[in-house]
Amino acid sequence: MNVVTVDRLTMHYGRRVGVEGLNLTVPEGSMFGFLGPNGSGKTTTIRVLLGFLRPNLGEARVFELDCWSHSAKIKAEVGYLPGDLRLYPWLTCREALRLFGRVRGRDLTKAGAELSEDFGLDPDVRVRAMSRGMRQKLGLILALAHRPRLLILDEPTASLDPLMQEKLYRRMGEAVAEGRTVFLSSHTLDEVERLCSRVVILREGKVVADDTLESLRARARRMVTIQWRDAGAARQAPPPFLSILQHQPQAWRATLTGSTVELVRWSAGQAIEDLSIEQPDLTALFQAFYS
Amino acid sequence: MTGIRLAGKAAREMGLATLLISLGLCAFHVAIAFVLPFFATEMIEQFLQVNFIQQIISAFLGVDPGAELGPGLINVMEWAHPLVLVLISAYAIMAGTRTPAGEVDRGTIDVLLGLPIRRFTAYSAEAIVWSAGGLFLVGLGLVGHVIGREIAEQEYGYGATSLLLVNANLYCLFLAIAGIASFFSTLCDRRGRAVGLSVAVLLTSFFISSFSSFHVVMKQISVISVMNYYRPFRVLQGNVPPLTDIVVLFAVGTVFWIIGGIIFTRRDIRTL
Repeated sequence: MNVVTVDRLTMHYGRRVGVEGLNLTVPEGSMFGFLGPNGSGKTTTIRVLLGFLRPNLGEARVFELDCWSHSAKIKAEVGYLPGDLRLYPWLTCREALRLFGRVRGRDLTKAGAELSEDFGLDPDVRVRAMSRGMRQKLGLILALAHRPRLLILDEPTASLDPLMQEKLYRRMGEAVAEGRTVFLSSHTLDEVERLCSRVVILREGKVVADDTLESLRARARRMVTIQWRDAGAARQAPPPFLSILQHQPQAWRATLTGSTVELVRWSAGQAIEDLSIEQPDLTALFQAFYS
Repeated sequence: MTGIRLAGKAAREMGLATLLISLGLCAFHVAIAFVLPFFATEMIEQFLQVNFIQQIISAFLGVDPGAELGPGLINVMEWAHPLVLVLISAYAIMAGTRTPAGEVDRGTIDVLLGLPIRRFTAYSAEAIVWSAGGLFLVGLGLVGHVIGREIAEQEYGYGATSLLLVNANLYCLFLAIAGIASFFSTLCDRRGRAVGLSVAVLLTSFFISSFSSFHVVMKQISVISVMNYYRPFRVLQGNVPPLTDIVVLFAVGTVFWIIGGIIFTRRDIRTL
C-alpha cells in the first residue's frame, strides 16, 4: 500500500512555479528521501501533503485520503517537523506534550518523557530560553511522541549535533522497522544516502530522478585511475568506455562510461602498473541533477 | 471538544494582556465614578455654555447637538470616554488578529495546523477565548463603576438595567470590532497589516459617527459605521433600550467573523 500518492501535482505562487506535474508514491514502511536544492519545491510538496496549500492542478493523497479535504483526519496519523520550526515561546517540553496530547486525544507524557531523556532535553525549559538545537529536539519529540504512521521531516538534522543526528537516525530506523513510514526531505546527500531506500530528486519544481539508491549508484559513473608502466603506453588513444579527465605522462584519470567488465578485459592486455576503480560518485551524480 | 482543548492555549497566551487591560479599564471607571461627582455639575454647566465644546461632546456621545445636554451628561462620558473606546478597540483588534495572521506572522501556524484539527476549529477556539476575554473586560469595567460609586457614596446613579444595557451595547461593539479584525486577519499573512486595516476601518467609522451630527453626507452614510450603534447617552439619559444597536453590532461581528472563517478554511497557508 502507498502511504503517499501524488499525481500530476502542480502548485504555482503567482508566476513562480512551486511544483509542476509532480508524480510520486511512497510505499508503507519505507524510508523515503526527498532531495533537492533550496527552492526546488520540497517544502511546497510537504505543505500540500499537510493540507496547508491547495494544489492548482493534480491531487495529493495520504492514507488514500485527499490531503485538502481530509487534512485533519490525515494529521491524526502524521508527525510533522517543519523546516523552519517556530514554537510558542512560553511552552516547555512538558507543557507542549500535555497540550499536544490533549488535542490529539492521547497521553503523550510517557512517550515524550522517554524521548526527551533520550535527546537530552530538559522538559521544564521554556522555548524562549532554548537554543536552536534544543528547539529542534522539542520539535522532533512532538513529531515522534504519538508514534505516527507517517513521519514527515523537513530538514530534521539542521542544527543538531552529530550525536543527536545519530539518535534521530536510530529513531527513524526503528519507526521503519515497525512498519511506519518516514518521508525525509533534505538537501544533504549523505543522510539520504545512508538512510533511504528510495529517493526523489527535485529541481525547479520537477522530478529529475525517482529511483532506488542501488539504481542511482549503478547510474553513477566511477572514477578510474590508471598508472602506466611507461610513458609510451600512456600516449595511446583511450578506449571508448573511458572518458579522460586528466592526461599525465604516465597516468590517466578518467570516468568509466562503460561497464567494469569491459574495463577489466581491456586492461588485461595493457602495460598497466596499477589500476584503481573508485566507488560510484553519487555526489557528482546528484550535483549533475541539481545543476 | 478539540476547540475547547485548544482554547487553553489561546487563554494561556491572552490571559495576562486581558487581565492588565481589564484592570486598567476597571481603575479608570473607579477613578471617574469617584472623582467626577465632586465637580461635575459646576463644570458641565460652564462647559455647556460654549457651543464648540457642546458639539465636541455631542460628537463623542453620538447625540444630536439639539438634544438636551444636562449635568448628568458627564456621567455618560464614563462610557464614551476615548480611553474606554481605545482600550476596548485595542483589545478587540489584538485578540481578533491573532489567528491566522498572528500565527502566520510568527511562524507558529505550521505547528498549530500540523495538529489534527480543522482550521475552523482553531479559529473558533480563538473566538471562544476573545469573546470571554471581552466579557471579562467589560464586566470588570462595570465592577469598577460600582466600586467608584460606592466609594464616592454618590447620590446620583443609573439603574442596574440601564447599566447592564449600556455595557451589553459596549460588549457588542467589542464583538463587532473583533469580528472585523478576525476577518482582516484571515486575509493577511502579516499581523501588522491586519491591525492596520482594522484600525483604518475603526477610525473611519469613528470619523463618520462623530461628524454625522454636523454634516448631512456623514449622517447619510453613518448607517455603515459601527460606532453609530454605540450610543450610551441615549441609553443612560434617554432611557432608550439599545436593542437595535445590540442586534446590529452582534450581527456585524458574527457575519464578518463567519466570512473570515470561510476564507481561512479555503485559503493557502504559505511560508513567509
